[in-house]
Amino acid sequence: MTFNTWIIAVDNRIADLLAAAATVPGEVHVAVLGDRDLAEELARTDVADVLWFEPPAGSVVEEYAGQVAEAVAARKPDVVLTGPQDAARLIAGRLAAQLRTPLITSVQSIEADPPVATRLTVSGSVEQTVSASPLLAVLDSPGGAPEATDAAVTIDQIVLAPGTTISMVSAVPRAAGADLSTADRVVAVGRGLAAKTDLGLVRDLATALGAQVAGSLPLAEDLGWLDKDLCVGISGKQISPALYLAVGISGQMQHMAGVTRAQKVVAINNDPEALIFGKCDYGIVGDLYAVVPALVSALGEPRA
Amino acid sequence: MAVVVAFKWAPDPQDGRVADDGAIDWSGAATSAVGDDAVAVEVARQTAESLGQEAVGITLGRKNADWALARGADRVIAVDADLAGASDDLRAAVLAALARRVDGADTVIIGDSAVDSGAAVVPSLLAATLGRPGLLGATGVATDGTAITVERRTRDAVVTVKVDGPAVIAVAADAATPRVPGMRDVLMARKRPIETVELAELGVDAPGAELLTSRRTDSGRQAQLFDGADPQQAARQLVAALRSAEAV
Ligand SMILES: Cc1cc2nc3c(=O)[nH]c(=O)nc-3n(C[C@H](O)[C@H](O)[C@H](O)COP(=O)(O)OP(=O)(O)OC[C@H]3O[C@@H](n4cnc5c(N)ncnc54)[C@H](O)[C@@H]3O)c2cc1C
Ligand SMILES: Nc1ncnc2c1ncn2[C@@H]1O[C@H](COP(=O)(O)O)[C@@H](O)[C@H]1O
Repeated sequence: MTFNTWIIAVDNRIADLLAAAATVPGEVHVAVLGDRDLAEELARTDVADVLWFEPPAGSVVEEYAGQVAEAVAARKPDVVLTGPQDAARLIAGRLAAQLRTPLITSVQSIEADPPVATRLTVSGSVEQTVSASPLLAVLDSPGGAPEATDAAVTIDQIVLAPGTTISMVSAVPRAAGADLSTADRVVAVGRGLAAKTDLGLVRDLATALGAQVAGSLPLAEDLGWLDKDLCVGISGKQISPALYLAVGISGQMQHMAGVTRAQKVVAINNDPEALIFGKCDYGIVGDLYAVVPALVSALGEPRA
Repeated sequence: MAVVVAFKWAPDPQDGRVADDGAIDWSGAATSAVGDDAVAVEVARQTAESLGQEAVGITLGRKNADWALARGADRVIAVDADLAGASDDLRAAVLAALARRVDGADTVIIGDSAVDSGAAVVPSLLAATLGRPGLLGATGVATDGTAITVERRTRDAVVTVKVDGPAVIAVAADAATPRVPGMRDVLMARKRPIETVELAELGVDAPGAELLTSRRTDSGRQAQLFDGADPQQAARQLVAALRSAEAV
């Protein structure tokens, strides 16, 4: 049996969506909401064709979720895959209503024939496999930019009717934060750190490991010691690095839900009863102010 | 005219005991308003006040009505049904039906994500069911007395948009500081109306996904601990372990 598979793209991060779609027999189509450059970039990927929705210049893409969903629903998809971006989730919600099918979020992977999604729920503590027809899945990690193919497929352009509800007031650029979702190693720091000026200690460890720095919600939001984009957990990023090292983090569920897909979790905490020691692969029970510098120097020593 | 705010009362996920097959025992779990809902109620109160409108809370199950009334909702409409195990799709359909019962409810405010599910799915389904635009992850909501502006952080910009007409706005944790109600608020809340609606009256239904398998995930990690009383030695032991696991 073959399936009519659609990817909904609101930016170029679709590599993992493409990989997931490739496991489903049949043609893969991409519906793109964005500018011409994006449509052209995604036309040079391994898909059958591109349906390009062009929003009027200077408008807010969220406004067009309904129009995109309607056009995709009319093409009778069997499988729809998208990422967790706000605009993508809004389109997915509209598709659920249009297709009268459940919206399945926090999806880690899919299998075809018949289409089945594997998802995490209850803050990452339960893994389920579910089926629905059509299968409408929002994947946690849509992947990075796709690999370009030599030839471009056809682009079918749909001109969107201008929205009337939401208008742009201002867009103030900000430095794009490090992309934690694709980081291979992450060192995260929590309330165990006594002062913002001690962040240098953690950065040294990150440098020694070639890792990116992240933090718990209190550090990234309440205290504002780190950029908000660097919060790991249910209100922040859900990441899947090969190595996650948590320094002075207690391991509350809302935080740990962000790292259920990390391969190895390491904790440094001075409280032997800390929750995180029940949720990690390796741990050092000790004062981070002594352990972190020791770790930096041990990492510098040659392999035994 | 009214500003509608959806809020939810749920068990603390930390208190749920997850069996190997993924079934959850919530008995003994403390229940409270979850996730960003305290923020949502505060944003709704401020918005309604500034627009000179009513703030109307909508919720599933009626136990939590007082909680929202004490925080600034003028009245609450609750569905008298236990929808604890219901699908997100059904919950969103029920919330949409409740929002439709409120006259002139152009603005619907909701928390961006709930901790218990972490699915962040109800807001987009609610916007879809109501057939209006949605704005997710709002980090700020303001009004000038007539129009609403919403601030959001995208990957590379802080974007402010103006909303003219019906919309669903999902607010993130940092959109406002929830206030702690005083004794007076709690007493005033008792005088405010709670309307309960039977589920059957709403006539909604929604598809649910078919569950095939389920299992607990967090059983995988078995910690190997090193004693940091001697930091150098513990650090070397950890590095050796990580090297042999090919993690560094
Ligand atoms: C709706 C909601 C959503 C949330 N979302 C998130 C989220 O996305 N991400 C998130 O992180 N949190 C989130 N939280 C908060 C979460 O519940 C915890 O409060 C938070 O993760 C705790 O952060 P922490 O571990 O840094 O701090 P704490 O819990 O205070 O832990 C600090 C730890 O440091 C240790 N420590 C202290 N001094 C030292 C030292 N010298 N050396 C070594 N260890 C030391 C302590 O033993 C302790 O274990 C959320 C909460 C709610 C209600
Ligand atoms: N049963 C419900 N009743 C009222 N609000 C809800 C319900 N379920 C979810 N919500 C709202 O939707 C938001 C997102 O929830 P979720 O999609 O479960 O992460 C929460 O912050 C709640 O405000």
